[in-house]
Amino acid sequence: MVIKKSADFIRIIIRRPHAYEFKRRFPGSPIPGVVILSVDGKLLDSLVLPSKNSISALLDRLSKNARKKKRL
Amino acid sequence: MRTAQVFLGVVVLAVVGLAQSPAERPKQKAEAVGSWIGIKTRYPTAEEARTLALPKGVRIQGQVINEVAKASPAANAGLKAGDIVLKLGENDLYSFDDISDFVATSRPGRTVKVCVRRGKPLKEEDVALTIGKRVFSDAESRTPSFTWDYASLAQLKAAMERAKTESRLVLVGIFGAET
Repeated sequence: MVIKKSADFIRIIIRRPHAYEFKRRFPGSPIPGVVILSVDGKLLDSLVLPSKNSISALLDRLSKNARKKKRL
Repeated sequence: MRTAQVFLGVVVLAVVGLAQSPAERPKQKAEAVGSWIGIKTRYPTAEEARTLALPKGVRIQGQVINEVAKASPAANAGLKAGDIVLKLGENDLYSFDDISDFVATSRPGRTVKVCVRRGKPLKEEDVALTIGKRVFSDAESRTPSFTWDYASLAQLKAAMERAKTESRLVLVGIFGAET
C-alpha cells in the first residue's frame, strides 16, 4: 500500500455501536483501529490503534518512512 | 448518568488579514472558525428508555438534552431540555460523541433534520436546525492536528462516492464513544 499523508484520504470516523455493523460488512476491521478502503470498497489495510489522537502522528510517520525507503 | 459539556466542534482554521503584505499587515491573532449547536446532553436512563420506548440494540439510541444555550442554533430550532434527540440528519445518536462528530463535520449554515421525541403525550417529530458558526480567537490552541470529513456509518456511502470522484482512498477510524 502506498502510504500517503492524512490529508490525502477522505476521512470518516465511526464509533460504537455503528462500528459493529461496519465490522460485519468489512470483516477483519479492528475495533479500535484504522482501516483503509479503496474507492470500490475493498479493505486494503488495517491497523489496531488505541486512540484516535494517534492517527495523525502515525500517518505522518509512515509517510516519512515510505519516502525514506524510496530514496535509498 | 453522565453529562457531557457544551461542545464546540472545530472544523476549519481561518487566518485573517492575508490580503496585505507581511510588512504592512498589523499583528492579528489567528482565529479558528468552528461549528456549534449549543446543547448539553446525557445518556437516557434505563427507566427513560423503557417509558419512552427508545430504540435499543447493543446500546440505547438517543441523547437527552440537559441544557440548551441561549440564542444558540438549538434554541432557535426550538429544542428544549428534556427532549430526546434520536437522529441528526441520517445519523443515529448513541452518545454525545456522535453529536460532536456530526457537528464537527458539518459546515456552518447547513440545515439538518433533527429527529426528536418529546412531550406529553409523547410524540416524535422532525425539527430543522441550522448549524451555527463560532469564532475562536485562540486558534493555535484549538486547531486539531487531524480532522474528520464525515461521521458515522450513515455517511460511509457519501464518503465512498466522494473518494471515487476525487480518486482518493478512504480512511476509516473506528473507535468507542469517549463521553
